[in-house]
Amino acid sequence: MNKHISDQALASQVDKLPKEMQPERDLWSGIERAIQGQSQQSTSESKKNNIVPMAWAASLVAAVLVAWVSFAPTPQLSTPLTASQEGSAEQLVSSMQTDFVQQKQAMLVSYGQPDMTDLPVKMKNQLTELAQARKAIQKALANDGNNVDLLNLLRFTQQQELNLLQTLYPYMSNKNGKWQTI
Amino acid sequence: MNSSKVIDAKKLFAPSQEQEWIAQAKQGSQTAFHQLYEMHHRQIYALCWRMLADKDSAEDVCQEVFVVLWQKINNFRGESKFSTWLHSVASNVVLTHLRKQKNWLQRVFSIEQQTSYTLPEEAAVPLDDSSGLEELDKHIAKLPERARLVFVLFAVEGYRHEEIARMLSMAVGSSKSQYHRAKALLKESLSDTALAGGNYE
Repeated sequence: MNKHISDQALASQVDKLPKEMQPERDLWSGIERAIQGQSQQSTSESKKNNIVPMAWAASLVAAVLVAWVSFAPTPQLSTPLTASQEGSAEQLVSSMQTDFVQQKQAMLVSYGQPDMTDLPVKMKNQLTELAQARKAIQKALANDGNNVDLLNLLRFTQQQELNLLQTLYPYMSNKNGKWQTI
Repeated sequence: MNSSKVIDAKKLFAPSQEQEWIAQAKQGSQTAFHQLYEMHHRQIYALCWRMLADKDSAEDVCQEVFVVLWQKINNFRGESKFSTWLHSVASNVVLTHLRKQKNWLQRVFSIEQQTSYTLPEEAAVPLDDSSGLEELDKHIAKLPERARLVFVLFAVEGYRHEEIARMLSMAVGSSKSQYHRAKALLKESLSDTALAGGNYE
């Protein structure tokens, strides 16, 4: 036996639905905390007026960065080390690392700060391996700071990491700084 | 005193009081904003619950709606009723929440799995529970996500299919077909309940 529900009966049930429901927990305290000290946005028009020049400025900065990344020579970390530099080895390792982090950051900024977790697995593995190698060398240098070979190896590894990031550039889309699937 | 006169006075008083609270909230008054919250949060929670079919998510998103409202209240120009505008803000916050949730899911599951994704069984409302929900609400909660969203927006919230299509990034025809699908599923499940002892016509 089939008990049929008509369109009218359904519409009538919908009309009878309560307009309000009571949440079980107190929601206001959370809202109050969230809006505490939070400024309100100005009207949509003034917002649009601000957005346009900002968008132009952002485009200009992005264009300059892309041009810089495209036409500048591959970032080379200074020349190989010599034994004369061994005295200040600790400082040297530290400045090499700072130099590397800055270059990497500048490169990522020029790419629009893409989410590294969205990279293809193969690329992610390569980057992880290089990062692990770099860390292992740094660890070894902590015990043997005057080892020129290790210092050169560190420089080589950092350079490889930068080169790899540069090769990833064509694989990323310009939208939202997300990596494209290869 | 005649009770009908009291009701009329309330109806006349409420909109002007609301306008005052809106104006004060625009100036940064949290007290006035709290009054607006008290006035509207049950309706907004009902909308969130029906669209999300999950109590915890509905409570979280309802909070998010009022945080967004605080940020955007200056955008309300009084061209429509405040409640209408607030409902459209709430619908958009719910849909953004669902999209974010989908993006996260896409990282975990493949796209193929994602298209067939529905709420896990334990998240849906059991039809014999004692949560105090209307019978129809329990059946709406059981609908597949797209059908449920279209049904709630069209039949309960009163949006047109053109508007729903824009909101859900789908064709107008898809919105209509999802609505018919929702209706058919609801009728079927209501019939089953009626056969099992309910009192539907």
